[in-house]
Amino acid sequence: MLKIIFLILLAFAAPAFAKDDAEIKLTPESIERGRTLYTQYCVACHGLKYYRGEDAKTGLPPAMDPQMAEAAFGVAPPDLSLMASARGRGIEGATYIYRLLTSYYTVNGQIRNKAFAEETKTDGAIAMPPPIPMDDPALKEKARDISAFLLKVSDPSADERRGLGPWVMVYMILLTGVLYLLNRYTWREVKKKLKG
Amino acid sequence: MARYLDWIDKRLPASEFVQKHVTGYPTPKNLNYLWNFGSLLGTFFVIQVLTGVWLAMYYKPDTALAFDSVQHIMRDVNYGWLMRYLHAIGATGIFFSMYIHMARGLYYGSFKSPRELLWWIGLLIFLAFMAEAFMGYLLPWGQMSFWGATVITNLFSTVPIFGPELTVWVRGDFAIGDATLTRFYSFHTTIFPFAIIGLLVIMHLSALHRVGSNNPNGIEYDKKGPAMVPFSPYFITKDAWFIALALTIFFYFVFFWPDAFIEPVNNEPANPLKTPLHIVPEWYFLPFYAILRSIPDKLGGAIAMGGSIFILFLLPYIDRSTVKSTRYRPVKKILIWIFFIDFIALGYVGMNAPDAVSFVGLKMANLGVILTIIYFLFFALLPVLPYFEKPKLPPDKELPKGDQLA
Repeated sequence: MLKIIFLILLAFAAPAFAKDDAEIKLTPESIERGRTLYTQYCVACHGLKYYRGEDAKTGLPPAMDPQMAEAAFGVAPPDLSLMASARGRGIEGATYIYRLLTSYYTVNGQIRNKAFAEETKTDGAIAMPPPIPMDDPALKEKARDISAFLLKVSDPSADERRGLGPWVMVYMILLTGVLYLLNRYTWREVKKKLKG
Repeated sequence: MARYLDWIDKRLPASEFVQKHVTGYPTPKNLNYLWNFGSLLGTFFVIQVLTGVWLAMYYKPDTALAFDSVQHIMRDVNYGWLMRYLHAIGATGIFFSMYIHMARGLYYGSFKSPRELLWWIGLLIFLAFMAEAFMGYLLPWGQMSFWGATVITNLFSTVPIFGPELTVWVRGDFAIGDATLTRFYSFHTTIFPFAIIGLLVIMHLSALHRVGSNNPNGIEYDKKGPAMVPFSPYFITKDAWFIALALTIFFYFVFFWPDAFIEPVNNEPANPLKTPLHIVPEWYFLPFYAILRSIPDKLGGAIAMGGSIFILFLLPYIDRSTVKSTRYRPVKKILIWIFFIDFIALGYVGMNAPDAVSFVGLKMANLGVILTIIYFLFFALLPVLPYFEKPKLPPDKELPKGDQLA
């Protein structure tokens, strides 16, 4: 029985070590830089209505009026509070945002985006012009920080969960162990008779 | 102390109830760990009710507020995220334990006489939980909530003559909207969990305690014979440690992998003007969704899906062998494993787009048709088995004196 438990635990432990392609690091520094970059490159059009920060207790509205933005770009710029979690599980969604920010190109002078094309299964014609210029020498670092920040905004309970989680697991494993021993003790006589 | 208990017992059969159903309830001692999933299912149901009650305090059933109120729970309410993740992953806990619980009944013949009614009540619980999960999934008002509900309520339009009227009646509007959200919320939080599921669970346990538990040998042991032990303490401790183990795995998901069972697209608010690329139901509906899609005709698909569940009600009459446990039935043993693998494979088909190519090289749509045929073929073959299958009966030493095959 213990062997089975061990195998089950091992099977569920594996995804925790999933690799991350864009090398987005969820460090406080990267997230903080991402926050600053967001106000530079994104907030003109995209709000963060569920963002909770010391400076924004009830979210961050877009600088531009959404109706004006829709008139200008043809589509209302979506709120980005949950964009990272809406485009994939865990780091996947942040990776998508990173790829979107870094994969712009043009066809006959028209703006195209590779990540957007894959996501929507279209030719990649996207309403949003490149927020960070493609020739910005710090493009990759900036995209990484913004993705890290947006992942953090989409999953606000992450720190609390990871802080509490290990204690819950230790408690539950101990409880399981004690109850397992109690059960063996309950059945000791019956098991003996079954064998004998 | 005894004085107070006497006072109560004169007015309410408290001690009698505990003696009959807990301390004195005879349980076969050879039950294996597959018999633990019933109590686990009950535990998950209690978790769902408790977390659901607390979520309902902060959730707003209004299309303009629903999505925001979920984020309010996730961000502003103390431990709101914990309540929501427990509830969302709890649904997976319910269906995971329910499928194993049902597979166990299927394998060990727990639906056979005298347990037909027990099996039918269990199937009604299964249906009630499906409805409960389906309605609950609309409440976060995400893209998949909206489109999943649209696809499934559309099935009512296949009913001949008054299909369209019926669909409008179910939705309360011409499309999924505020009227649908409020009625789903009402059903999801009131009569479904408390009246329907609650009542059915009580009936399920009453029926179980009338006929007694089946066991891996499928032999009706003498209730006062040596094959029995009292439920307490033997199965109290066995259930307790197993529930603790299952909850450990459950909490692993809640704290370290909470988005494992949340469809990413559902983190986008419902948008009636934008259809998601793939509309996929939750994992526990996938096998039935695959059966629905396997029939090219809409009405035919709905009938096949309904039939795939309804046929389980007929099992006591379809499976006519006098031997309950598949342990001793060499042909059913092969068929039932094909059936279990088929069911999981149907889930795999349901998860993918119909025109995608499966790993066996067939298109999902075609593979779905084959798997659907195998699903029904299993039930078609069961009545014929007793004519040629030679059951290998359990060795005599496993039969206590005075006990015989029912």
